[in-house]
Amino acid sequence: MKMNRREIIKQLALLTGGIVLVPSCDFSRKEVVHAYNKFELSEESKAILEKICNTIIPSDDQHPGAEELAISDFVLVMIDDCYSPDNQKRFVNGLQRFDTYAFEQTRQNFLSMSPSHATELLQNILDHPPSDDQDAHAEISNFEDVRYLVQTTKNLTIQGFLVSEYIMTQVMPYQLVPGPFQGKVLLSENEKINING
Amino acid sequence: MVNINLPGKEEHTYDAIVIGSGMSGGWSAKELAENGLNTLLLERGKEVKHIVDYPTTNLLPFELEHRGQVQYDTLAQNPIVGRCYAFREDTEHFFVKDEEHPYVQESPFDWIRGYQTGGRSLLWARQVQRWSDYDFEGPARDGFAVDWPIRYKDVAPWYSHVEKFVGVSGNKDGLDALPDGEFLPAMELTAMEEYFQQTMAREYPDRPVIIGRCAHITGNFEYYAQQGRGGCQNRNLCQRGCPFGGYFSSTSATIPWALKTGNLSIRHHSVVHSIIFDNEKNRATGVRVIDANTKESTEYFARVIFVNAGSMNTNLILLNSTSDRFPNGLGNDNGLLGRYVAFHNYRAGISGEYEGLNEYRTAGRRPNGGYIPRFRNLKRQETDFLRGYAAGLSGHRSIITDRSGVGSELKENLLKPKYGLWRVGSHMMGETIPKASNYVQLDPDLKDPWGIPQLKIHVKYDDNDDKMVADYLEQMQEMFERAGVINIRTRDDHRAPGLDIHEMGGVRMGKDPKTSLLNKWNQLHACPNVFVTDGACMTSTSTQNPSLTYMMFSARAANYAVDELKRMNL
Repeated sequence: MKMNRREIIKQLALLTGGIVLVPSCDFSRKEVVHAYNKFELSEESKAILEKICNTIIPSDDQHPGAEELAISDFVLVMIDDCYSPDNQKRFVNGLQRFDTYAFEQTRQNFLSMSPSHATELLQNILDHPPSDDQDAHAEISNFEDVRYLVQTTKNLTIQGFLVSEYIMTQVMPYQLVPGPFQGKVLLSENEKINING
Repeated sequence: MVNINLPGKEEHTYDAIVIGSGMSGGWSAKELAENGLNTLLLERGKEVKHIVDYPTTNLLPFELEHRGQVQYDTLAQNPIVGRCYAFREDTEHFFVKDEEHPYVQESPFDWIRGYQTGGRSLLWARQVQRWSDYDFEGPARDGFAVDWPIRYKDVAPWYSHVEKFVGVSGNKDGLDALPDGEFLPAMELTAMEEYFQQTMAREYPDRPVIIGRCAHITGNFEYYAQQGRGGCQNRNLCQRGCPFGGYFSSTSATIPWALKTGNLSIRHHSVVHSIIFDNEKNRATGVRVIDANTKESTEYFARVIFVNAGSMNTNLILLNSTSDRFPNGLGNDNGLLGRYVAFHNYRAGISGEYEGLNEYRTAGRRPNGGYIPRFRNLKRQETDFLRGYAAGLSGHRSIITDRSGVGSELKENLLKPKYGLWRVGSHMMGETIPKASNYVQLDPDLKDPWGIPQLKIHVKYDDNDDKMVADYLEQMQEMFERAGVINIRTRDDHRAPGLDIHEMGGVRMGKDPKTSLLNKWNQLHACPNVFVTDGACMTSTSTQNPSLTYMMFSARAANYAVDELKRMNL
């Protein structure tokens, strides 16, 4: 059932030229919706998540980053299938609040931010000390959801990156049949460590 | 129950019926079929063909949609099996889901089950340690349960018989507490484990550390090629089912072997309701089977019946096999059927780090670990609790990946992992004392989906277990400290009994029909053409991983049954 729904959305997306239109009263907010099993995301929220992933692990000359490895898709599959309803709510709420928070902090929308500003913003969110202001509950809980979003996305982006086909075949190869086990191997100098070795 | 298929009786008649195709049932079937008995093997679950039905066996980590993690809804719906360490995205199809086979927990008991060809033998941890007389003499020496009706010399040849076919990797360590067997080349200890072994040899001469003896083929390849099995490739993906047949399972080894004789038939989706006892003939004549899918009832007949349904289900079948002669369950004249259930205490563990041996690492993956045989109360009573524990040991060089920061700094760090300290860990495998107060019964009201009473399980830890946990942690901490291990952490996770997946007893062996259900050949005292050779037969548990002993009992009892049939004694 789950896969089916995702597959249907994908196929619909193909038929309709890449987007699924869902009727909405407020077209000004670009309410184009990506439906997962447990939650829905607007086009804008999806774009923000992609940019968060791509900021956490950017592309460079040497290695592809989150964008080429489609990590945001992996993040959404994991949130959809492996997270509790409460944590899904926090994640989605954090994502919906994210741009407002970004704008308050930087006077820029996240999607138009330069890579270095985006990196700085994410780092600041992760480094932000927990608040002890008892009077601003709603605001704090919204920020905590933003932080939860960024921290969770970071964890999943790292997982998606390290356990990607690219890393596990090109960079630190995982062998299905690894050869004999050796319990005591002398390290050689400048040995390149393979976490999948 | 009405005998609904008398016209088909002849075609439903076999020399032998084996209930359950798991670890012990596979052995019963193999030995009976090899000896020329026309044998019917009944499996309640689906058919799983070796290699063909291992759907995840060759998937790479990134090919698993959730990278191995079980989905939230699956875990929410399966709190019991979800606690099993081996229940993962790549293995969950081999486990029984909680709602598929309900049971009653009078006290928390995690009953982990695998209903398919081979049962849980596809999923086991593959450690195979022999018992010694320190184990078989335990109840008599320490005054609990009843005396085992056998000693090591009675079963040693059958351990050998089983080990040769299974393929057991290990060292001849020369330990009287853990007799040597028929071993293929041993796997290597890691540098850390070897160092720990050497330190213990100096500091605690009576606490040897060895490499685990495991059911993996590491030599004598031509012999195992006859079984269609190859050598272990160290993939360490065993619970997916091994396409090389590198580890032993009923699915890869005993069942295909038995089928080759032409004497074995297997019927899947066959839930055994009960064993039929004929009052006039004064013997068991067959079994009632309910088709798992159609719920239709059928009967099958045979001269001998081997009950290998898995400890708890074996109790369930016997309790549900009532007749005029046995109103309280087959062979249950003394009322002890279902009582004296025990298990292994896996609650405690310890871990730490070691700063030396920095010049070494390991290479590859090893489907095995270090092992510390029971040393506590081994030769005499030393503590204020009975019996003792064996311990697993593992030592691996850690690799540290710096996950701080975001952006190019993070990415660079992820691609530059560094070696950290050696990490060393151990877990306890404690003997528990069988007691009348740890029992299983039939629920008087609740039925399972096949109309069979649900099993009500009442199994708890006791004071002896708590003391043993404390002693394990104390002794192991001291041993780790003497080896210079730092950052030591201990844990007692208070897991429910059952999660060890070493549930045993309820149909114990013994010398006296007044205090036991089975004799020294695993026959019901009161119904000798029914044999029980799975974990239900265990009089006590000792500390060794039990599968090897179940297999040994199965092979030994099956050959005895064949001899007795020839002598017209059964």
